[in-house]
Amino acid sequence: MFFFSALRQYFALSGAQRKFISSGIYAGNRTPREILDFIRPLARFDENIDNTRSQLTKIGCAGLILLFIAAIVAGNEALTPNIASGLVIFTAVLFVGSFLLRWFLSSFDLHNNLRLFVVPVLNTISQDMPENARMIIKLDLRGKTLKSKMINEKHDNPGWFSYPKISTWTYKDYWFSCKAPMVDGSNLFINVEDTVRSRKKTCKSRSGKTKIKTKVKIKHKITAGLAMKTKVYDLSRTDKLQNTFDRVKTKDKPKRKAVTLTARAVSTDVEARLEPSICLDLIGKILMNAAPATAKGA
Amino acid sequence: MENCSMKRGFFFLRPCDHPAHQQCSVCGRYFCAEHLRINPGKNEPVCLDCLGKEMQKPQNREKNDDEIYEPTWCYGYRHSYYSGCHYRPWYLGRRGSADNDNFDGHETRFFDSEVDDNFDDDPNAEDSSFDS
Repeated sequence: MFFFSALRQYFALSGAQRKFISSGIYAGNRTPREILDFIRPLARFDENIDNTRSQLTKIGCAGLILLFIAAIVAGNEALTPNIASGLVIFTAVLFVGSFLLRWFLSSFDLHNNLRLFVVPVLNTISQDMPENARMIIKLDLRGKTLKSKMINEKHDNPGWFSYPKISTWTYKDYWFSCKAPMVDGSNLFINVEDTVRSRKKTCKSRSGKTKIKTKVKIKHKITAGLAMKTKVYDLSRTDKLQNTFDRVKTKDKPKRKAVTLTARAVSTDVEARLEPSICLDLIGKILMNAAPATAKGA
Repeated sequence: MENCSMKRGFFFLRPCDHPAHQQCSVCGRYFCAEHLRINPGKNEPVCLDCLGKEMQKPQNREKNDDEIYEPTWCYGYRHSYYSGCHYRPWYLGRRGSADNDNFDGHETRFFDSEVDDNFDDDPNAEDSSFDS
């Protein structure tokens, strides 16, 4: 059963990893190997927790169905009262216990972006970093709709018994950023921020019933940039990037030119995960539009 | 003994400097211990490129969900990334041999040899290039 496997994995985690599960924040300036060694067991644990929770949902639903059957059987007096009551109690415990355990495990659940976005992106970037180079990483997986992340709150209330009443909350979640040197001497920068708009609408239907509708919209903003050496690259072609859908920003310095691309994605679920390919595509596009600098005197 | 045949990297390919250790049972080339794994189920050594490609196959993806956390994933993913995004990787090595000019059917790009010397400057110089 996944539950026991998750339990074993939890006890195998270090104190710092357990602290990350409860705090959801990680920041450091370390080698990619150290960072991945820290995150990988957490990703595996999170996958196991997800599997356990989905398994508990199934067991809970099966428990509910069995509880109905047991109640009918007990009501028909087909079994002796002792066996019938034992069956009802067992199925009730199965139903309630599964959902209680599922709820309890939610406090150990990390956002799937950790294992399905952060790990693959870091895995890929680490391939192109010089040996023993360090990367700066900041990770905030506390949740997208924390009060501390709220940037705007708006309540449109027309008064007592007047509808619709609309409340809108806007949150800004800067949940991932990293900065790393690459083997070609460039500096890579990745930043992901989510803007969450949660809208609660209370309205009255024609039949007189009051209905509450909640809608969540998340705008993901993924920014990837490379500060590339002008000695190494001829970056005159990066202007072509302006024609793509992604937003382009360039900055010239005496020795480097920083090219930054921003991609956007929209989802309607707080639990929605980002595809690592969105971020890797941005880096690929920048590098595809860079040509090698011609040597002096050539 | 010859060096490992693996091309390290994702956006920038470069030769592996480690001495070759064993032969891959799929492609037949020689690789170092870091770039070899035991093929699950077959108990034979297989290089990360062959293993990664095998794991990227749709029928194996679900079976190998766990692989996304391992470096093997990058070796498999880079093949589909180069095809899907039409990306031509940079090659940081010697130009000339067919093996270096072409990586698994994907044309590689090279820097001029004089430019290569500029890679190792201080990575922290102009560190604030991204600050607006």
